[in-house]
Amino acid sequence: MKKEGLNLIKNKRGDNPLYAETIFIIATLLFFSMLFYFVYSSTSGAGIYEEAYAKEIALLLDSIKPGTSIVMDVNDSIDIANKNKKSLDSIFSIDKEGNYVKVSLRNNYGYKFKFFSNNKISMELRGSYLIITADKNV
Amino acid sequence: MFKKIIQDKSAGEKILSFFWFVVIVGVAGAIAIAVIFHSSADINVKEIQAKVLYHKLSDCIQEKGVLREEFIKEDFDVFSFCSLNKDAFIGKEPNIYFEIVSSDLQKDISGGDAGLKGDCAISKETKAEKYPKCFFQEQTLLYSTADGIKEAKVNIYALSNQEGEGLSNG
Repeated sequence: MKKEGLNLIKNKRGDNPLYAETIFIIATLLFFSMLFYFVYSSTSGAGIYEEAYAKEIALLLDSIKPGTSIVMDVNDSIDIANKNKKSLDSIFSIDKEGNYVKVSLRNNYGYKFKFFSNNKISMELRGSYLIITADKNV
Repeated sequence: MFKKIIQDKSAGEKILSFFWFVVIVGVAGAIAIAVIFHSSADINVKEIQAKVLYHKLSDCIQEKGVLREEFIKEDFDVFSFCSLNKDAFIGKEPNIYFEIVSSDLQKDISGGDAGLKGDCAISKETKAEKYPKCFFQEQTLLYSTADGIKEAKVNIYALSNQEGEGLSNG
């Protein structure tokens, strides 16, 4: 009786090749789903866009001549901000005291980059375009 | 013994499963490491900013190869004339530097952290991500005096070591 019970324990469902294969396939699918999610979230993350936009805008502000306007397509950033439920009014801002461009596509997170130009800068978001205007600082 | 393993199908499957597991973990690990390296890499714009600063200064002091009269004057203020924010060059850790030197005109104008100049020389010779990047050129420019038009060699040197900063409270 005791020996029979031991056999039952030994003869688990895992010994069934079909069962083992199913577990293996499910584990593999789960593993790769997690991997693809990680790759997707790392490459399309808001952090990368915040850094790229902050640096791009700061370099534009440094090179823009007074009396000119630049229209920049920022559709990607708006999509990400909408996904993160971030208010569109506060995506792009300028810290005039510190001479920083700030880009924030997530609540409570962002990226800032310093520029050296002393022009009077104004930025306005119109639809999916950011309009940057520079005037001579009096 | 080898024949027995081949005949014993379940033992062969176990070896194959283990082999598959090693392959999958290896491939996934390699992809994850590559992604981490790629996404954590800085977008380095130091060289571009140094060039932007150089061109801003160059465009400011001359027009079509002729030095502006204001530049030759003794009371020339590069910050106000070239629309440069003085605080960005004088404040705490400016991470930026420029020099306009002309021995012909006896001019030596500079702004920012001069200590970075030595580091820039190192980054020219070796690959150093955290070191500043610089851009400089010598220009031969014309200027007018009471005796007529003369030539002056002007060296413009621009450097940037600007790195952005992540914000944790928006």
